[in-house]
Amino acid sequence: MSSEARMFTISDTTMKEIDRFRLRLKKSVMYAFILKVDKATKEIVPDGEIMDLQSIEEVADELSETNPRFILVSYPTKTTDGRLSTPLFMIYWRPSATPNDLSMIYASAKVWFQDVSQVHKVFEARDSEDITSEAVDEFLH
Amino acid sequence: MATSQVLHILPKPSYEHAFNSQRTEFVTTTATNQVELYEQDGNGWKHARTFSDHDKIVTCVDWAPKSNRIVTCSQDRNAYVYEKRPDGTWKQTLVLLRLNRAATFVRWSPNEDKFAVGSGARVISVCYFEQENDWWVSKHLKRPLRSTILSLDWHPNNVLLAAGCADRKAYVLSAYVRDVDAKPEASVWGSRLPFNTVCAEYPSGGWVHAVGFSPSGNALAYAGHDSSVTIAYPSAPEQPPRALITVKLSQLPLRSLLWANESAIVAAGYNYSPILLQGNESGWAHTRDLDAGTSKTSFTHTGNTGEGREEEGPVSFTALRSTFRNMDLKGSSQSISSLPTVHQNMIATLRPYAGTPGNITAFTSSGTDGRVVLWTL
Repeated sequence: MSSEARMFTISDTTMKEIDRFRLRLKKSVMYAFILKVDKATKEIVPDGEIMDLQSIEEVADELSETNPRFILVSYPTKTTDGRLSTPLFMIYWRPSATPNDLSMIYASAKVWFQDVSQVHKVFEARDSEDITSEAVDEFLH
Repeated sequence: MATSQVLHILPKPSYEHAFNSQRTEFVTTTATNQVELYEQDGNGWKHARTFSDHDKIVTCVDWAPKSNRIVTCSQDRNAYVYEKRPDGTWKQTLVLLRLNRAATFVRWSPNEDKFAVGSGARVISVCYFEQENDWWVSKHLKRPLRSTILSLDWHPNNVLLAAGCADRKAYVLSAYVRDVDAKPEASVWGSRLPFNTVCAEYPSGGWVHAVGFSPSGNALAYAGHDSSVTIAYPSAPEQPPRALITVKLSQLPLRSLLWANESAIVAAGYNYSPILLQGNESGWAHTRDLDAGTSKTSFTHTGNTGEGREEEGPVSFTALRSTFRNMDLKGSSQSISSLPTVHQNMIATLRPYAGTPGNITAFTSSGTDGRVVLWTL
């Protein structure tokens, strides 16, 4: 058992939420599911959803510039041969103004959370201007 | 008829003042790095406390009536929030605005859980308290501001923010913060309002010195440096406004405005005298001057030129000229030592004093002459 596994927890309800998020995907609509690490209990808990996003830039506007977050995004896009695909990926939001203790917690939680949530594509963003449609498209292709 | 009463004469100019909810204390900027608090003492006011935490000139101050907190912002690019301790002293908290230019203007939101700071960095810092880390954090509204923010006003829904900018535009922006606000109800300004949504952008002929939402929040008034007041009635998101009414004034520009009710605006500025504007969607007009002294100075002058002409303004050129001529020719020492208006210099701020939003019955003004004046409508 790795040390992260002893440190962090995630409840079954949250896991179900993630599964539901993964499965109920309406293929043409963009969703974001935000999660945070509770500082005291080290539990990973949901921190709200954003429905019907028009563009990925809107996610950036909703985030705090001092608190890291894990954001699962269901992202409808066209593949190079023109088919519609809706990949699920994670934005690891770690703004530059994060206090040190929080960046440590999130850095160690990230790997563990990727493992339990089975999300392997991780897009790191430090500034709200990093989260743009172009950058995400490039990252996914 | 409006009546006025000079509450206090400050030793220094006051660019901004703010009263507490009981109107027993007020704070004022002093054109230095200090903020001074005055409290009621019998019939007068006495200096009670000086806050000198800022390093540079304090540009603005605001007092949250319900939570009894003071916020100040300064050219040192920071803001302080002051909270009163039970023993009567004040606890200050530094708020990092993350600006690279001076902070110019600050206002608490109606729910007092956020405040917005305008700046010379073409940015509005929207600040809110983050429980998680026990500090005030800021989010920046950047788009589409192109110059210094000169004034701000919050919509009653606690989400929308109006900004008067030196790029000759008045903006309505969304300052929705997910951690603080509930989803706002749809209004004429828009239904989906993520942070930094630009709800409206209105043109002006000069720097926009003052902005104000009407009590219902469904109209916006703003005053430009071209001596105009514009009242905008939006129709629906992304649509041109239902009405955009500009009142051109024949006097110096306005610095501050407030809505007395849905069909009346009080405004004041470089003309030393507050004015009343009245109207509705079909038209607005400057209906009267609230300072009785103003009318005394408009007199007909019949001089050597033989032409009678009306002079407007707080003190006429001819009155001054005849004073100096008398001093010179007759050795008369009788000079105009004070102007006939209550305020002796530019009025920088108007604040509601009594009444409820939508039915303001009294307001206070302060300006560079250091006078704090109470006006009853």
